Amino acid sequence: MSDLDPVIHAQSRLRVMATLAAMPADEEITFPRLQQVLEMTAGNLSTHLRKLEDAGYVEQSKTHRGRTPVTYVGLTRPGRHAYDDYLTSLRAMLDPTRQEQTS
Amino acid sequence: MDPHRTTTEDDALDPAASLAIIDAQRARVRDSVEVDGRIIFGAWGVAWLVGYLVLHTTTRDTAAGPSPSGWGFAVFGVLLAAALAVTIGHVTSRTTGLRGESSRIGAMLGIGWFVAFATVFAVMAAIMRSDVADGPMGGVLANTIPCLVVGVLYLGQGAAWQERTQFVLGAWICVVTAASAFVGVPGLYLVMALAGGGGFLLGAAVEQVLRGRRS
Repeated sequence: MSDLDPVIHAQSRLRVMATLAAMPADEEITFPRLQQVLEMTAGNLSTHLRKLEDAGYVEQSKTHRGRTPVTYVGLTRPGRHAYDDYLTSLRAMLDPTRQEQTS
Repeated sequence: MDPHRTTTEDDALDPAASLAIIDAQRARVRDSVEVDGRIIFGAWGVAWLVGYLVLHTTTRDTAAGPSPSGWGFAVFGVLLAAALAVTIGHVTSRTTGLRGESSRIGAMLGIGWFVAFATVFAVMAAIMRSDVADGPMGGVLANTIPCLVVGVLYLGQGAAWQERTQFVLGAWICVVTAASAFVGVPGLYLVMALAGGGGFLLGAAVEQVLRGRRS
């Protein structure tokens, strides 16, 4: 289990990362829309986004649409790599024969 | 919020549970953010199948040759408007709050449809003012011009999104449109209903099968 990135390997953050990674590359989503897709409270989501942002996996950009402030959330390039690595380690753990073949 | 409880929950994650979470989120994104081809193709398939059948069955001989009745065209128009409303409503609800390359492509394609159909209506208005409208090619042109545009835009959209079903559907609509031009009124309406509307419905069925394989 030591192989798994602790920033991603936590239920809520894994859900956030999996959602952002499932969207087309370079696509960003507004905070409320992400909240709706994840069915998380705003407070809970911002807590986890902050941790992911601190790790450099997620980027939050603030902008304005008319007079309303809008926050877009997207995966960074290192974030996508970290997620891909996480997925690879996960699959290797579930299928040890594949791990032997690859290592 | 109790941070310790969250940590305990997170520590309990085993690889199989993690993979299950990932699969669930992928499905959630597919069902809430991605445009569903089954809905779009299904809506247009029903509109074309029923609408063109109505045009075909209401076609009567007139002084200017065979032509569908006014109420036939009205039903056809309402069905197309309904399919358009379903398309716009569905695409808007799925893509709201997204920003990036895909969204920009989608917005440009949306403008593309608008410009293309504004042109179609202008060209049709010019045709209707000419003698061509009174001849047998009037009804053929009034149908083939918009259908050709639909086929070509589907080819372009399929290429832009790298979606095979949509691309093949575009090519198929072009083939059906070409064939319908030779059939002429009123057989043309039957061709568009069965091969055109049927093609859309087959496209929706293919999307359903592909979806089943992906999950």
